[in-house]
Amino acid sequence: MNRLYKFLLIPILSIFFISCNEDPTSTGAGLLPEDGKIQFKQFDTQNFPVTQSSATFNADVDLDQSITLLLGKNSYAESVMLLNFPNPFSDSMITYYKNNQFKVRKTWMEMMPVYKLGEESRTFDFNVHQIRSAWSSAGFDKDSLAQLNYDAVNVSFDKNITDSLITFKINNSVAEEMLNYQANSTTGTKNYGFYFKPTSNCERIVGFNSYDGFLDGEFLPVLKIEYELKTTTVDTILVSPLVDIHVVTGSVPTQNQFIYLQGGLVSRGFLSFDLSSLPKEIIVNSAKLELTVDTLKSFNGVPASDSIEVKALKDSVAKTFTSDSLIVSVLKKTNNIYSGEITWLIQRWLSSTIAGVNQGMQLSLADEVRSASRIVIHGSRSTDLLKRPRLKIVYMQKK
Amino acid sequence: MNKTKFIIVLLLLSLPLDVLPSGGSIYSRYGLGDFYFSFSARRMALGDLGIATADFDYLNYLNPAGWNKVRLSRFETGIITHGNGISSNSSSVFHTQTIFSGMMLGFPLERDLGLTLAGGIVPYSNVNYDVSYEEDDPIAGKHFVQYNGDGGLSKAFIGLSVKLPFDFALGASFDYFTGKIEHISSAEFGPESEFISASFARDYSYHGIGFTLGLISNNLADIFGSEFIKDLRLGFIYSSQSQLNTDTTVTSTTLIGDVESSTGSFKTELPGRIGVGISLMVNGGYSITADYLYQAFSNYSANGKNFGVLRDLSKISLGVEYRNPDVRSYSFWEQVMLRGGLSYESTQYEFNGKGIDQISLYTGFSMPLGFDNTLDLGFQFGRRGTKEGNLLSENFYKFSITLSIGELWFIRTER
Repeated sequence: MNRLYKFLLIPILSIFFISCNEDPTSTGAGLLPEDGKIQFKQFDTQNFPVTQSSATFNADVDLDQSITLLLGKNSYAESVMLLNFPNPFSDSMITYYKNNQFKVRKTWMEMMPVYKLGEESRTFDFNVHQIRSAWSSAGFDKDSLAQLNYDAVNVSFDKNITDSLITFKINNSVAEEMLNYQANSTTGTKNYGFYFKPTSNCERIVGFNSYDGFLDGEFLPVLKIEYELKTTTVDTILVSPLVDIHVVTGSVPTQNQFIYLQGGLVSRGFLSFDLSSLPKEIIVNSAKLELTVDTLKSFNGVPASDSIEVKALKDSVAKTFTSDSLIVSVLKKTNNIYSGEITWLIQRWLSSTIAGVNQGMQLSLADEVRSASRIVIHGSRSTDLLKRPRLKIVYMQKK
Repeated sequence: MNKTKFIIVLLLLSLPLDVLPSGGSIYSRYGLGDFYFSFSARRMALGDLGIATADFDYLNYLNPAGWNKVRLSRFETGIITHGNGISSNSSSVFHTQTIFSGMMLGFPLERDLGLTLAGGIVPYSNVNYDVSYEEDDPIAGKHFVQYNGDGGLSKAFIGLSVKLPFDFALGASFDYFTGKIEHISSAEFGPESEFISASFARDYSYHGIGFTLGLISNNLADIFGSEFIKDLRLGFIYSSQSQLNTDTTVTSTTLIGDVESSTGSFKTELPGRIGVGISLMVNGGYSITADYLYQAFSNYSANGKNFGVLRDLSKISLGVEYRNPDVRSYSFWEQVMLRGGLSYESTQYEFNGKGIDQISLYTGFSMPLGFDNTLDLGFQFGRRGTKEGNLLSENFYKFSITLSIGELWFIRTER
């Protein structure tokens, strides 16, 4: 008996303590104390105006990281483009050239537009100059451009500009110069690439793939050289640029009732809301920022600049960032309004114990390095109150 | 300790880690929750109290004077499982919870003087509820809200018993209350919602001191001059009111993580307890206990506030135990002790003028595990509350297992 008892005791005890559970239900909800219940409230700057401020500021952005090269001009910006190609000719070609068995027949370039700003009916034209001084895309800006040494002669002609492809011929002498330099660098004149500059009558901007974005060479601008070998063979060399950059110059208006977000130059926006009227100990369930576009003042390209990035600022004056400013909220465009969630940012400000942590936010076009769009947003001083930046917060608190 | 006892202790200690609470009565949202009156399965099966009992082979949780007859060093531990079937006018739910019922140690220092040192840590109250329902808010839209609470107070104590002249016994213990209660309010939105799910958690950490005095009378059986009544004693206990230091922390679970939004401290007034009981031993191995316990819970306050739903608590209980009087019995079944009891309790809860009352039936038995060692099982079935006035009616059970071990630890043998 004692053995049986000991043998069965532990399993029997275990069975007793196997719990059976049901999912939580509303049973007893009526007895919950009111002072602990959750309630939701809304904070809408359109209905409860709070102090807000906005501004436009210029940012120094390295366009070397752009996946698009911009060329052209419009009413507010001009973009020039620099391409540098590797040596196009092989050693055997140079040998043939030295034996007078290699001849350049035709030189031209093909460039596929991937970005357009301005109506198609507007004039697009440019000149191409040979660069005569060394340059690098790293840190290249308008100051570097002023130091650039290039030939005054335009080497391009017979341009054919369509919606999908731009082709133009280049003087054969350019390819022959390259050949000469490769054959004898002491007597030849070195070509450091081509400087593309819009003509004075150019009225729109076009973008092309850059080396940074398309390493495989496909869809990049291409230099083509048709040659004749031993008078019997005709073939074509295709060369894509290894180094490229574009530089945008121009100006940004200073009307303080608007926020000017501009690509290329680059101009960004500052926006700040005074959230001190929000109660403590709240949780933000949603914080949506809405920015209204002034369509008459805006210039948007194709593909459109349809996203605005929002980052928290550490210092509203110096426009510096906190370590977590790497977190970016994105506002997407629907009709004439850019809107998106900035819940994390608002919660971060409200939850922080650091005084003055709300230093506002930076607004920038998501494609600011690869576009030349100008998106004009109604700012905090907009005369139309309904078009001012709007912050809608839904938060929960305990009663 | 032999192998079987060792395995049982391990099992008892490990079970609560595996069996998680799943919710209980929303009544426990108020005050400090539901109270535990019995630490052991044996006491539970006798109607939960037993103020006047003094055993040689059990430790009395309520009355320190009851330790005066302990003959061996004792160790008691166990677990308690709750099952609550809760019904309202429109819905019902069943919850279970298993907790470690704590442990007690007792060391007879001088048996002739009834001098016994005892201590332990046992659960004092329990908060465990989980309510969830869908809400359609004009601002936030459809979402689920969930209110759940968990935790409770524990009492750690150490005390002494001593025999007084004329066979009276006196006991006193120093009590230290500690514990944590967490109330969580959360809102959960579905994947289609643009809103972020979030929750508030308010933690209360309690700590405070108190004391308990107990007295058990001499044998009053002679008054009746009856051969039938062998032993009759009265018992009395008083547990002091305690002021508990209460630290609060509010933690918000947000999109950016957990944020501690506020902290604070205040005092919680835990009302004192008094109780009286009678213990009767009659021929044939039967013991009868009858007890009354009172706690002025209308005086409870937290940060100077009373919920307005708490009233004075009182409990009346009756218990019967059968123990084979023939100590020479060696058969397993002859050594099994049988128990039963009932109680009526006016709980501390009162809503809209309607008190929540509770009636319970108890049963249990002890199985021998060798000399002075038992495995005790206690079962309680009770009903609490009413559906009237949108209140809740609960059919609940509690199942308790306690291992009671007596050993010759620290006892000086006579030469």
